[in-house]
Amino acid sequence: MTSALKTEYLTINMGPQHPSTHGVIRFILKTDGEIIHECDPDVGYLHRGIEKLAESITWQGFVPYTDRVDYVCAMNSNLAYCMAVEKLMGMDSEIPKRAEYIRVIVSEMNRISSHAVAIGAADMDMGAFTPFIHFLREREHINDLFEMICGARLTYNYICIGGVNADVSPTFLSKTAEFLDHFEPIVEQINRLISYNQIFIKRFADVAIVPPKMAIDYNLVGPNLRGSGVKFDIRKDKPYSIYPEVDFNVPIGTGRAGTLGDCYDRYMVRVEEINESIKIIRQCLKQIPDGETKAIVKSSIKPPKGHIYFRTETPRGDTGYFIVSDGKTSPARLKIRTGSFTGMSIIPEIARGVFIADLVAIIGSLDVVAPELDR
Amino acid sequence: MNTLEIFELIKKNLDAVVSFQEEEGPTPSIYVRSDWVLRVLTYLKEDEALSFNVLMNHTGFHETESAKLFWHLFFDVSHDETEGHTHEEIRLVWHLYSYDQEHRVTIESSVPVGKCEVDSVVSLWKSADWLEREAYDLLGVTYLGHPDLRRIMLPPDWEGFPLRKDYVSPTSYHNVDNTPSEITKSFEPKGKSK
Repeated sequence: MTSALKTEYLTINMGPQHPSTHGVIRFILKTDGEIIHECDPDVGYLHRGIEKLAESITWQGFVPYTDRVDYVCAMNSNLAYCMAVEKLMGMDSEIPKRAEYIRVIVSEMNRISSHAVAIGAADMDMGAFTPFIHFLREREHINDLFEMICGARLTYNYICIGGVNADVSPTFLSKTAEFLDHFEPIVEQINRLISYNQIFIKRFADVAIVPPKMAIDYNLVGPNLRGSGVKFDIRKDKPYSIYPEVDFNVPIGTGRAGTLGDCYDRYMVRVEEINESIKIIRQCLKQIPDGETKAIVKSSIKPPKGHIYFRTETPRGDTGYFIVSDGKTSPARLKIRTGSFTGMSIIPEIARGVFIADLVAIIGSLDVVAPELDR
Repeated sequence: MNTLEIFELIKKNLDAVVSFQEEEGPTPSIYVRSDWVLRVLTYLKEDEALSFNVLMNHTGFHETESAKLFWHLFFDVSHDETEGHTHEEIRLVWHLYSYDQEHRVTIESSVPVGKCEVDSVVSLWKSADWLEREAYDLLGVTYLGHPDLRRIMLPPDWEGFPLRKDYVSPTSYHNVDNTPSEITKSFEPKGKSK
């Protein structure tokens, strides 16, 4: 009799064109009513073969492509690639101090705008549209500031091998300070609007708990790892550039509204990181020295033979560039290990047994960006 | 612990076929013969003094220059099985990190292009799952013991492995023409156009 009552799983396609998948990602869900029994992410819709392209263009020519790896934080992608090449060439100590400061200022600004979009999009996925619009309005100010220094609003190609492409004007520095004064209270405003909202907390707390051990096993990075309570930030633990000279905290998840490592912890780590970035930029604006902004670099560089795996902290976590050089004018192999890639690979595990609506919360809290995932 | 000390430990405690590579570049690495990979990586993860609990990155690349091949270090190149494949190999790289000990290490291995097989390390780190699927997809490395080895970035019916150096882009896919136009060809560097 029991066999006659056997139920079958219903297979549902979520995406590729789905508003909450933040780009083009498809999930193949096997559902039992409203509960997900099995979730299989089908990625690769935005695979552009950037790693293959790198093998046929010059070292400097690849910098604009790194913008397209993660367009939400293009400055950080530029920085990650340029620092890896500089390290490979052994010229990482030759970068002028002023260039290092400008690099940190712009990448922290980009971290603010990226986290703002991540938080806003997570809110929007949960049905709250207003915070997203507020954050996009604030991001426009950052885009305007970046337009001032490099002419582009999203894909900058500003940081280059050896320094930065152009010096910043005193107006940019004063406008940046002005923006920080304007933006800092807004973070708290939006917190009152959404982050402390009981309806929102009920949607995010205790959903998709990632214990620290699992986070490390799946190699989660950045805010996702810190949301699980692992205090690791490359800016702090393996410092590069001028990060040892500035003072900032590393926020971690503490189980604020439920269990350690749930969606709400990952979300709040991002909110707190915005405040830390503001702190870093303020210190940099005070300490920035005068001087050159670019070291002398040949127009056609040929890094010595060898390979390197260099990690930097981007908004989506530890981004690693593995570069192989065979002493020619273009890389022999270039591999980008991104935070979205590992963030996505954990979804089949944590999405088992949750509601379909909670999968949207999981994607939003992991802050997956499709072009960075597929490259 | 630096790479040399880790190398000495592996040599002392395992009977593995390893060699220390003092690269010209900034990263030294430990080269492991491909059939020893799983045992060496298991040791690196489970030894308490080492405790490499993160697989940061795993990938490979196609090495075509015979002067840089590792394969002949450990195998008799005149052997029948490796004949014809001794000039090219897929070099595999594992980057490990330990949150407890705060040290890192680079492990290298290589497999001949004709027989791209290596043990999967999914049983040690879950993050290896997708990284190995990606290497299988783009480089054509078969991982023995991987639970779900299928293409990840490219469609399931794609032919060839794009990141190999001898890969030729298809001129059509599902009746969609992809022949380079005259304008595209005019941008190709001279001498390379076919």
